[in-house]
Amino acid sequence: MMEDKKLLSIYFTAGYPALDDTVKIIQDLEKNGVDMIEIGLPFSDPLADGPTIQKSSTAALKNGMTTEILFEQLKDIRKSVSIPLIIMGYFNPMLQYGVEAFCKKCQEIGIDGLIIPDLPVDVYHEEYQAIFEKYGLINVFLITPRLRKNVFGLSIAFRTDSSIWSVRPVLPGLNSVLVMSNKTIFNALLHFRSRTLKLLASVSVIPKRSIKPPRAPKVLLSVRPLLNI
Amino acid sequence: MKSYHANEKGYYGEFGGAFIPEMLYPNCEELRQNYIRIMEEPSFKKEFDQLLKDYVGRPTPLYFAKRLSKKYGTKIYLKREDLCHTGAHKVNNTIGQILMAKKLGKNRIIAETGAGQHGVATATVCALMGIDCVVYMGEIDIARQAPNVARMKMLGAEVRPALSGSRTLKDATNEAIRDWINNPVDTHYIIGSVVGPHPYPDMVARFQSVISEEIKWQLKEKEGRENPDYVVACVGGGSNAAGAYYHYLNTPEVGIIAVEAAGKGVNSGESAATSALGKVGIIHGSKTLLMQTQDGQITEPYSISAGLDYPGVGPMHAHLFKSGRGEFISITDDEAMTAGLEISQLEGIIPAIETSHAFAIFNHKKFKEDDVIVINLSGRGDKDLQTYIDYFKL
Ligand SMILES: Cc1ncc(COP(=O)(O)O)c(C=O)c1O
Repeated sequence: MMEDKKLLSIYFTAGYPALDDTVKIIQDLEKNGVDMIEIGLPFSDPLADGPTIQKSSTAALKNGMTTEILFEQLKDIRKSVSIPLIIMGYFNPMLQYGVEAFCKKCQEIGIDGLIIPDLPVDVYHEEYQAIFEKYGLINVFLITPRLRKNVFGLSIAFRTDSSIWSVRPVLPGLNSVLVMSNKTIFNALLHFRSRTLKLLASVSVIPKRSIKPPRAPKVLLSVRPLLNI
Repeated sequence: MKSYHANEKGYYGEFGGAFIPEMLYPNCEELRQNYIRIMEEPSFKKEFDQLLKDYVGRPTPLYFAKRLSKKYGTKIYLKREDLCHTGAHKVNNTIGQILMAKKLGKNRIIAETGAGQHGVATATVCALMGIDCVVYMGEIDIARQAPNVARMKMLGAEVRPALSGSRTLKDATNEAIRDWINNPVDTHYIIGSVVGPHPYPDMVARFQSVISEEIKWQLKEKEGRENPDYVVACVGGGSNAAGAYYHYLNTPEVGIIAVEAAGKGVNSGESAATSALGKVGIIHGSKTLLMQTQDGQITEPYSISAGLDYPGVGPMHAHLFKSGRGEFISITDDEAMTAGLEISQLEGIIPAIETSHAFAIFNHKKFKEDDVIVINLSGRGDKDLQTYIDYFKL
């Protein structure tokens, strides 16, 4: 059942190159065999991203992209697209929209999860996890070459009943990890330590909630220009 | 008793914390676990105090401004941070952080700068210690602040233009953070104000706290009491203010006055008055008050003084504002420039334009005759001469 097929996840910035390209890009990506899409909600100061995403984000904002407009564009996306959709954005726009309102909207649209690089694990756990869960959204964390040990400890503590991406064979009890990185970090990860290597080698992603089996990714390696190293 | 200091998680009330990507976690964690311990080590203290004394020129005088006091009918003292080496309070922090970096075994320093004051202060301590230094500066600021760019280069630093976004201070900060993400092991990031993720606001405030530590004994000598009625400081990110308030934060009888830049007017659309215009949000890893669009995009502030031209404010100050502990006054470009000219001619001191804002409060707030007011004179005006020249057609 856990076949080791590599899946392709693609990131793009919503509102770029043109404001209304969002839906077409998503549909084209799915048509061309992409397994999962990260829809980038542009932010003025994307400090976990490199110059490429900074540029596309600046351009998208200039084009007039807003949280409201993105949700409007995505309103009917589930009529034509069935692969997992993740919104990747920074915490401040979400905070201003209202975290609960944001999550609710995501659920209505059929968004599967969120990647918010500047929402740290502990804050998520203490303040927002309940909201994410209420709306069936997965929260995706980043793994880095200098992975902190206790991320896993923490993960085990609070993700067991809520999660999405399952890494069961490697770390018992931990069942939500998504590995995302650019090539350099990815390579560093491979060489990093045997534990990580093992983790990567046997990442098997098993859907739990919103992602139905037909579009469930098996092995997920999200490659995006996280940083220009 | 109510405390206005950071708690162990770096929160000042609801503000602060560390909203950072996982990639930065190890860097901040290393600092967080060590900064207080290192600062309290006798060998660290000794070297820090020695450098502040022999290299920076501390203690800086607390000067009774006789003519200014007479004009406004109250007792005004000036804390002369403008007499620090490199011309502003910024160096108190860079001395502290370079020693911290050495203790942590770092051999490369990065920093962000707007006007260039913090960049110069960082380049200076790197030269002093023989450590490589890269300063990120917005492309637009590089053009505006040519003399400070030259100073940094002369001190041996590399000045890297921030080409993204609006190409000013906030973008320089983004670039510095990206550099740190990419060089997590050997590099220390010297942030220039009480902003950024925990533990920076608290660490920088502690390094700057030497200002109020000195004010206490100096005022005791001059007035027979440690506590003034008011401490006044301009607030960009808030480091000179944090230093001037530090030992008075939990002393309610000392009034705290924070002066922000209103630019062309708080409601002109060209302002940097964060307390008036900001909403709670996240900037550079800290939850604080920040100027932003309704949609949560960070906006570009404006002030004639580059050092106050930051869309956020340190979490300590957000808390002082929200809790009512601090009184916030915004001062326009014109008011600041007029006050800068006035203090030059009344006291023979040409202040930095940032500081000039603090001198403009007297038209906004009346003081009693026997009130004792300490204004933190955060920097000297040499760097701003061209702006003064253009403004007054000197
Ligand atoms: C003389 C002077 N005062 C004040 C500031 C504002 O910074 P902060 O609010 O951190 O003291 C600057 C910043 O460049 C400065 O150079």
